Amino acid sequence: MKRTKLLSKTALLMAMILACTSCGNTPNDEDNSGSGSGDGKTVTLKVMSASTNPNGTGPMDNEVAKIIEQDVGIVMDLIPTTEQDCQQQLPALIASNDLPDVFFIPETDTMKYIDMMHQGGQILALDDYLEEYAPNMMSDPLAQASIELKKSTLSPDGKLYAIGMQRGTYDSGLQPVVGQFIRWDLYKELGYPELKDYDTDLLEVLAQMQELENENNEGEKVYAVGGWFGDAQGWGDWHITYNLAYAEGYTCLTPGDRILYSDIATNEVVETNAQTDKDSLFWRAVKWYNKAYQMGILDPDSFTQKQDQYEDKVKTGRYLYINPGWEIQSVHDYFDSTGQTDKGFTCLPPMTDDTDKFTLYRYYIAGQFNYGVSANCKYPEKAVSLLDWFSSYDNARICYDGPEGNHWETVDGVPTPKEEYLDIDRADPEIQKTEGLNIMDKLIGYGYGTIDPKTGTAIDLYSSSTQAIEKKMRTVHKDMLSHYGYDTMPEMYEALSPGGTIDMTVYNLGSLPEELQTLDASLQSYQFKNLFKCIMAKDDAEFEKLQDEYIDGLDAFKIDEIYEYWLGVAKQQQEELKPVISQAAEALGIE
Amino acid sequence: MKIAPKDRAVNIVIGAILFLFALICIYPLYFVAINSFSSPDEVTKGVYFLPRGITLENFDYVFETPLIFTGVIVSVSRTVIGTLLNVLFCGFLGYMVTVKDLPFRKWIYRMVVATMYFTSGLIPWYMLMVKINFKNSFLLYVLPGAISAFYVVLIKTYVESLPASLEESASLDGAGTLTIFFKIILPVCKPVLACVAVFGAVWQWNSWSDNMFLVTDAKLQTLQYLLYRMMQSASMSDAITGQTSIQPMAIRLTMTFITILPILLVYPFMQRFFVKGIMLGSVKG
Repeated sequence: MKRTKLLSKTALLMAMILACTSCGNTPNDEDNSGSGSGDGKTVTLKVMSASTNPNGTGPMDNEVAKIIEQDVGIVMDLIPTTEQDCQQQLPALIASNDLPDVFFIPETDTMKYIDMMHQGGQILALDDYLEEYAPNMMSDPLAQASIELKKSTLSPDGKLYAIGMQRGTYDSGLQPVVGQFIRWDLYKELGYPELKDYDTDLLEVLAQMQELENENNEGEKVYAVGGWFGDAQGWGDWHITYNLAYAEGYTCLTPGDRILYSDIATNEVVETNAQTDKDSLFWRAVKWYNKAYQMGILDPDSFTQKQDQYEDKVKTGRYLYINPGWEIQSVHDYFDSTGQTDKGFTCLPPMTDDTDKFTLYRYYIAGQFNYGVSANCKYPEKAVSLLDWFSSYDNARICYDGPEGNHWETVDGVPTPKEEYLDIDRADPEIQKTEGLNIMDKLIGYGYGTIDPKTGTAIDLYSSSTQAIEKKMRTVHKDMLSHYGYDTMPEMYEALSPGGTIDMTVYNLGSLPEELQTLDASLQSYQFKNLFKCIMAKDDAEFEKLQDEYIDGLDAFKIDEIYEYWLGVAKQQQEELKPVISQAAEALGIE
Repeated sequence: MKIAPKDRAVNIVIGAILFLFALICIYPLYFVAINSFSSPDEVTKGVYFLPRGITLENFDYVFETPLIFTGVIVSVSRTVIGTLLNVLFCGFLGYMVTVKDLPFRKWIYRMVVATMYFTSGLIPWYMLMVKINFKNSFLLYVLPGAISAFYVVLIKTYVESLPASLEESASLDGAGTLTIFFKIILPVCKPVLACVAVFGAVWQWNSWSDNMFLVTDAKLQTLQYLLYRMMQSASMSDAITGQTSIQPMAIRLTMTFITILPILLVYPFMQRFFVKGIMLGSVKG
């Protein structure tokens, strides 16, 4: 009796454990490679796309998806992801050999992932498929330049493993992604004082602006300048890395340690170590924030607040100077909702004593989002056809604006948005669900602002057409144009930036050698820990003392060796990539 | 009894401190609630005391999210089924490891406890789930988490505090293992099981990472993951091109409200069991 009970107890326990492990899908449910016949008929491909749009999940059946199905015989089963999520998902997918047919490869450490997949034989070399299945890419010089870049910078053996999507630009010329945005209405009220340099004039004007408006509509304190220095390393120091570089026409090639920059006009590397050169973009930015701190125009909360807190202040008009262009819409919305429609931000053109260029258009020659095709994909030719479909200018417009006739029409040979289209909310889930507009944006071959060479108009009519830009113009923009004497914003910026407005940087310096990697990581935390001390210096003497201490401390991290390594790689790439840059520049009609 | 003025003053001070403390605890929830019902523009400016521009616009936006209702069903199902399995499996295992004549009882218990200290890591977990065909399966949500070492420890400790005579007398009357478990042990374990149920339900309701890694089927998306993605969809590029009409802060707070509401409703009902359950076993006399 006792033995029977004992056995039954053990059996029950075993059954419970078995139940935990045996119930699941049948293996056939989860065949991750493309399904369907593939012989000219429709097949389903699993596509992991860098998009989080809630409508972009599962098999697509909206209007755009139907056009894709009709054109290339593919039903896309979308798996949404993001840069951050994909960095966790991809190693798991690689380890289990479970990659979707077409998949996004994160921007960070792209080469590391490609190497892992290449070693495991999990990623397909696409070279042999291009001629037959990628006519759009093969006939577009911009796509060709991107392919060449991928072969030279993102390949372990010179073959093509990644197709870069979102080539071209997001910028429409109304304003840059990052720049010196000031409250133009206050600047006007001050009588347009001369702004010739960043290091002194700008600060003085900002101080005067703060005197003019020191409270927002709700009576809260207004500061001219703010930051999110309280955020983590790599993001909390964003302003120091980017604001001046963009505003003066340079690109930081090593944003982690901010040692090396390149010139957007010549695409040449600036041969100076920005950490040890006191006149570098890095030190000028640090000094500028220190001066702002000393003048009392830098929000003291900047040292502790994070980006969302900074954003909240931006959105309630509590700063008069902003660098991130993507924040501008929200503060304009605030002004409109509080009836202050005459207020607004515009981006200053280059400061004449400092530079003659700035980054108005950021061109992603290689494409911003990389996609690979799984070696397990049953229909690799279909996968390539799909990426190629997105790489046609006409199809890109279909993805952004829908087919011709719905929201836009061709007027005198130029695609023109209908007036009512510019009034709709394209983020409306219902519109996205039925029409499929803009939900596959990270898969589209060209960025919003890229100019279609056939028609000379931007691909995305909703955001970047002449009509769309005109609609976004505020009183401040119009006043700025009349102040400088130009008709349109792009025309004005281009005229005031004779040195150039287009950043076509394509450097991909990869990683440091192993023996320098740890030192560089320590160097970055040293920088992050100490640069804010310099910004908080009470006077110039203290700043100089802290600056000297900071520079002396860099030797412990073999900064010269790191600089020499970066410089060597960059110079080599500068030479190697010259023909590709010229090819892309020619394709874009840039001299 | 008359209270001395001095004592009354002390009571007032203590009352005030406790009131302040309660306020500190409650205010974040209140803040979330008033912001959820305020107009997005007002939320941007800051809503701190009373809702401003009362509206259901934020909820409208959230509930317009595609698949949201499927998401609610999936999340509710995983919470209900997952919690039931949690209670049942952990309860049974917790009880079984107290049964002295179970072979390898101590080893089984030690192996379960070991999982509290050593985890397999993401990749082995992912590979295992794929191997046992849990990818794109609802079972992924409810079975792997059915046994949690912490709950087993909690239940085992509780069962050990019960008089041994309970089980012995039932056994003498001819009751088998299952009868003893379901008819004797489960009813007297209500407090600790309620505690496990609350923990389990909160965990299940808030989980989304298993969904992110292993579920691509649109019909199996959980509410939490949909909301997570919806927040992310207000991307930088959308903001640049002016293509987003949502105010992320308002939506974030509304989503937080929707997320915590069910749990807020569950806690008061379970509280009496919960406190008793978590305290039991902590003191032995």
